[in-house]
Amino acid sequence: MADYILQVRNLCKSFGAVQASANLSFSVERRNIHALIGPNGAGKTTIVNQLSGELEQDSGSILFNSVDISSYPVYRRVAAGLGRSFQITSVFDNLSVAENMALAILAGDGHNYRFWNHACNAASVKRELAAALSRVDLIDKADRSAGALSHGEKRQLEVGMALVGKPELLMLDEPMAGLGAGGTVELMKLIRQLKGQMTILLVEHDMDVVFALADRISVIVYGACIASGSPEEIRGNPEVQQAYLGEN
Amino acid sequence: MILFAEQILNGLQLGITLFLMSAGLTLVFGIMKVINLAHGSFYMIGAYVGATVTAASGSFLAGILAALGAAGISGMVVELIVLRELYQRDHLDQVLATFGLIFFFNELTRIIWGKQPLFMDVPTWLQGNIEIMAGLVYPVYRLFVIGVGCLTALLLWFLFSRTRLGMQIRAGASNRRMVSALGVNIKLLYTLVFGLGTLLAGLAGVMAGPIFAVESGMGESILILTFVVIVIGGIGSVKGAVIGALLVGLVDTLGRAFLPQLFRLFLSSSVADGVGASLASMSIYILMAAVLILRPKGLFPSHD
Repeated sequence: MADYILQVRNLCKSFGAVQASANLSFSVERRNIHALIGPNGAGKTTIVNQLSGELEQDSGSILFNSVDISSYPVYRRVAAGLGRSFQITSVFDNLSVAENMALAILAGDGHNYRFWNHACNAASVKRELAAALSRVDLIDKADRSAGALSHGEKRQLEVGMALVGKPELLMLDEPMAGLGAGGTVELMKLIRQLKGQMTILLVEHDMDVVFALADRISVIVYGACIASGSPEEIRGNPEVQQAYLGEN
Repeated sequence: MILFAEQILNGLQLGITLFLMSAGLTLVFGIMKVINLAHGSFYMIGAYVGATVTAASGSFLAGILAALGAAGISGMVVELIVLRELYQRDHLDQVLATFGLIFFFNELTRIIWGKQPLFMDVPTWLQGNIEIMAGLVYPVYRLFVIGVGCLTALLLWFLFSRTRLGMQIRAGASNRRMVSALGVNIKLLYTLVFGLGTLLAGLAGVMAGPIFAVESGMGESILILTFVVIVIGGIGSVKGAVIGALLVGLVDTLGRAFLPQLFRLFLSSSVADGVGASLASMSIYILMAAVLILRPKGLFPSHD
């Protein structure tokens, strides 16, 4: 029996007449890099938003470590170990790189509302900041405004912030979007280093990236999972080829 | 010269009252993207509760504390019951709902306190005048208002730049999804921010109590000035609220004091008084229009 960290069962979500998730079921094994792929408009980001808790499903359930988290708000899912990054980079441009990271560290350390303490002098920040910044190669840019970083560096910072919460499952929503070749290589290196420490759910367009990194792949078409398997199995699946190459 | 210094102090005092009002309003708009027309109602709540508790207890400090508590708590209750339903709606729904709240609170104060305005005395220890410089005698209470406002501005600056709540608020203003993805309870953060905003409005209200009459509907006239302040300062920016409030306070006060005299230099005195007075009452709107032409997003546009 495989050890599943995440089990999605019969998830449904409609926006008016559009079915973004249609009886969607798939499972993610612990310590795998599991990729979600699918043609544009397949509903991948909607799925991530349902898993993170930003969108409420119409029906179905989400089990995380065998606990039904379907009704948890976002912050409780994060506390349970479900971290994420966004398709559109979401670092705080008006804060410095170090402040961004400090915010993530403080958010994770459980004393969220001892708010009168000086933010950057908190013990947990002093302890973890340097390591958290070096992990994503940003230690030299700690004092810079996050808005001044390059696109690739913002991505690194964002992934670094998600890592601070020590998520058991990290969801990366199109991490390579908008990155040049150099940035893509850097980020792939980072993701590969994380492999084995945590489970990663990777939503990605770039097939080279997906096939280079993923242990398992699920293919989403019109909000339903039409195939799940190893990269080789997916590559050889006629239904998948049809979905990607068009009808007939 | 003496008159000028006195008017500057008057302008500062109006500006500081406006700052207390606009800091809360601009925070709520900057972070929750909600237009809260009922912000003036919390100013009124602060004034009424402050006046009542001061009269009953004989202590102005107790009145201030009660006003802060009443405005802050009623703000959080309104956030929980009304505002939470409005975050996802468009601005027109927000404006209608919070406009409705104005009527609700005005009527509520009439039911509780009646139609007669309350008058709040300046506490004995703040009565009288003080000679600041030769010939310039100024009421102690108004200096006290200026002092309290400056202290509050300092506390706010400390809260925003030095504490983790402040960091979360600044982060929430620039990207709420990310704050929530980091594991911050954003609903609780919103309630706290809204409560902080209404608490500041309540402080403005109780400080204004001994200067103006405390009456139903007193929040609306200051609300309009407050909106002018946050449009000038840049919606969502606390720094903009400080600068905008001082600008509006000074321009309005100095305009009313000196524009008629200025026009008397080249017009007959009756005409000059008429033109000066009407220009003075328009001056802050002219200032707002000028700022909007030069900087359409206000002096200190917040990040989006």
